[in-house]
Order: sequence, then structure tokens, then C-alpha cells
Amino acid sequence: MTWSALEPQHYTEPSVLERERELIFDAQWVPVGLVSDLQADRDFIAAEVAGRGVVVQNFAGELRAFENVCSHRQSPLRTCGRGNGPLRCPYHGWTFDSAGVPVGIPQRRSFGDMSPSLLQQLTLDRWALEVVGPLVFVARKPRESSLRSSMGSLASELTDVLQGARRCLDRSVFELGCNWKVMLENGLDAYHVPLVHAQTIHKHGLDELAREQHGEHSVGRFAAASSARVLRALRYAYPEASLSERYTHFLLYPNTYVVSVYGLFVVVSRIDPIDASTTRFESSVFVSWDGEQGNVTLREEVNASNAAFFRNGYQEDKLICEQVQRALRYTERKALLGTEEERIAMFHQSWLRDLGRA
Amino acid sequence: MTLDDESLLGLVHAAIDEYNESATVPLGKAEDTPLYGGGALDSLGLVQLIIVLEQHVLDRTDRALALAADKAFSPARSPFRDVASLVAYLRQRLQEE
Repeated sequence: MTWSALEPQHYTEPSVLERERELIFDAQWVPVGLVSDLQADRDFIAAEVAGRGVVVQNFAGELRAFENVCSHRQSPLRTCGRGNGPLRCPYHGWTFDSAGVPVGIPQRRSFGDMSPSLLQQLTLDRWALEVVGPLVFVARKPRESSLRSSMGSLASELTDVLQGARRCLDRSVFELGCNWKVMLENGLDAYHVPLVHAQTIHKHGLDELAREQHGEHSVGRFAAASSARVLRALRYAYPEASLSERYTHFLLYPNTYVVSVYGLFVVVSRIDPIDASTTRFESSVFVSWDGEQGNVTLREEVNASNAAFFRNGYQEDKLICEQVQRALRYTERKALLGTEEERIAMFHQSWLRDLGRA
Repeated sequence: MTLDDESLLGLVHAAIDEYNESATVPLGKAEDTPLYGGGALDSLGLVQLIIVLEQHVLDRTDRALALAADKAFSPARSPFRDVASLVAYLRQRLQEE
């Protein structure tokens, strides 16, 4: 066992979140959307990463990410989550090209002679972007130049899992009244499952076989007591799919979970801070098999059942995490972490390193 | 091979018994026990029950029925909505084939 390296105020103080924005979220790769929403020329998505807006746009087949702020008068360039159209600011109509340079400026003469250096100054702030499987990842000022290198020793396994995620079955987005780390740490421990998920996840009898640290990331590997009968049913519904008996839970530091369920379903969740005690949870469930053999209706029912299973679990987590946040406001006690909560301690090591306190 | 209603009910009960051996939420066996659509079965549980029942039918009648028809998953009119409707569905399918 070990005492938590984090104090209660690390979960409540706005100043801590400010440092996290600069030292963690600006430097790390996070998934912000689906490639399937960006298939056509001019398709776009807009998202927030720890409160900072980013827009991803398809420019004639090439995806580019920019900070979602017009360089003219600070308006967001995109005010809805996705759509199609040129990258044009809704405020005064400035339009930007794939390099982020303003190429359409209404009443341009009113700005006098716009020199190349001024246009350079007015170029949008570009973010790094990579696509893995169905997901678009971005990073504002990535510490690792590529997503793959940031994944370290997990790169091969994690990339395989993500590239296997073929069709999105369900997306859920909701806000929680807790610090992002409360929800994140909740997902790193299976210790809470018997009580918090007594009627849902616990019934599958998850047994954690291994907890692994991979640099700043971590993995929990599980076997489910229910797996024999569940696998039999899944084989019936997905006659040609390649299934595994395992349930693997990855933390892609700092705030992304990737979960592989029986090698058939892939769940990607991002836990994004809105403020020190409000968090946005975004999750997508994918199926990794899109064959046509077997009974389609049956398979869709199983898919829907699986999506509902995850949604129910999230709501149970939300309730307990919001209760923890209320207590964190007045307690001075630090948490005590047992061996089943080792992955939380691993996360704390990375967090402390990034905030320069280690 | 023709089975009377008592034999069909026996097949369904045997399937439920086998399902319950590993079920997280056991199923009842009374004729009006809700199964799918308001009962203890979600769609994955329903698939598990179908697998077990198809095997019992095969063992008893030597006939391989595919019970997972599309309407099985309509909660309002599913033949798996309760034990009685499941017996009736089994009778109908055995008469058809």
C-alpha cells in the first residue's frame, strides 16, 4: 500500500487545473473525434481539450487541426461540433486556407496593405494531428513528435486495438460534477466494482490478472468469470469474428481510456476537464467486426445491449465520483492506495513529473 | 417427431435450468414468467438461452432449429417474452419444419 501522492486540493483548486492545462494537456495527444465525421472535403469537427478549442477540417482530403480562434477578433471559428463548409469565421467572415492563412477578408482594403509578415502573424495556430483507426488525435505542443512514439512500449498493441475498431455503435457525452482526475482514477481501479457496479459489471466476475506500467501509460488485464457463456453467445452472434477471452483496459496518459472487450468491442473514452470540479466524459463504443454472416438483427440487438451496458456503468461511476468530489472540498485526508489501486499510483507518478513536483 | 405441450414445456424448463447454472440473474419457470422485454434477459442473455434451447431441441428431436428469427428481438411480440409464448413458438416451429 501507499499514501496517495496527491493532496485533496489537487482535485479542487483552479490554479492546479491551470498548471495541468499548460504542463499536461498542451503536451499530450488526445482523441477529439471520428474520422467518419471528416470524410468529405470541407467536413469539420470542433472539440475542446481542457477548455481550449480545436477545429479539425478536411481540406480536399487532407486533415488539419487549428486552434478554434479567429486571428482577427478572437471569435471561435466553429461554434458547433461538426458540419461542412469552408473554414470561415462566423463573426466577420474571414476565411482560412489549409495552412491557416487568411485568404478571404471582407473589405480587405480597410486593413491597408497586408504584408506577408502580417499575414504570417494572422496565420491560425496549428495543432499536430494523427489518425489511428477510426480516431483523430491532436496535440497542441506535443512533447513526443508522433502519437506512436508517445505510446512507447504500448504502441504496437494499442495501435492494433484501435485499428481494429471498425464501426461506431454508440457515442455518449455527459458532464460530471467532479474533477477530471476523480473520474479517471475511478476507472483505474477495479476495487470499487463489487459495490458501485453490483448489478452490472460485477456480475461478470472480472478478475484482474495483471497491472502493468508502460512509461506514463498503464494497462489492466482481466479475465471474466462469465466469459465462457458470453463468448459462446458472441460466437453465435458473430460467427466469423476472432474473439479473445480477455478484457484489456489501457490508460493512454493523461486522460484517455481504450478498452478491448473480448477482442470484439473497443471502447474509447476521454475524460476532459471543464473546470476544477466539472468534467466532460466522452465515450465511443466500436465493434471490430463488420461481416455479414449470421443473423443481422440478433447482432444489432447484442450491439445495443453492449452499448447500454457501458452507459449504465458510466452513470454508476458518475454518482460515486460526484460524491467523492463533495467530500474532497472539506477533507484534508489523503487517499490510501492498496495493490488493486496500483494504477492510480502509476498515474500520480506521471502527473507529478509533469507538474514538476517529483 | 411430434411433441405434446408437456414435452415442449419440459424442453423449455430444461433449457432454463441449464441457462440458470451460469446466469447472473436466474430465470423463473412459471408460464407467465417474463423473459425478454421486461424480464431478466437482455439480448446477450437471450442469445445464451436460444443456444441452450436449440441444443435441447436437437438432442430431443434430432432437428436443428434456428430460433433466432428477427421477431425474437421485438420486445412487444417476441416469442421469448415469457415461458408460455416460448412453448407456443416452439410448437409452431416444430410443426413448420
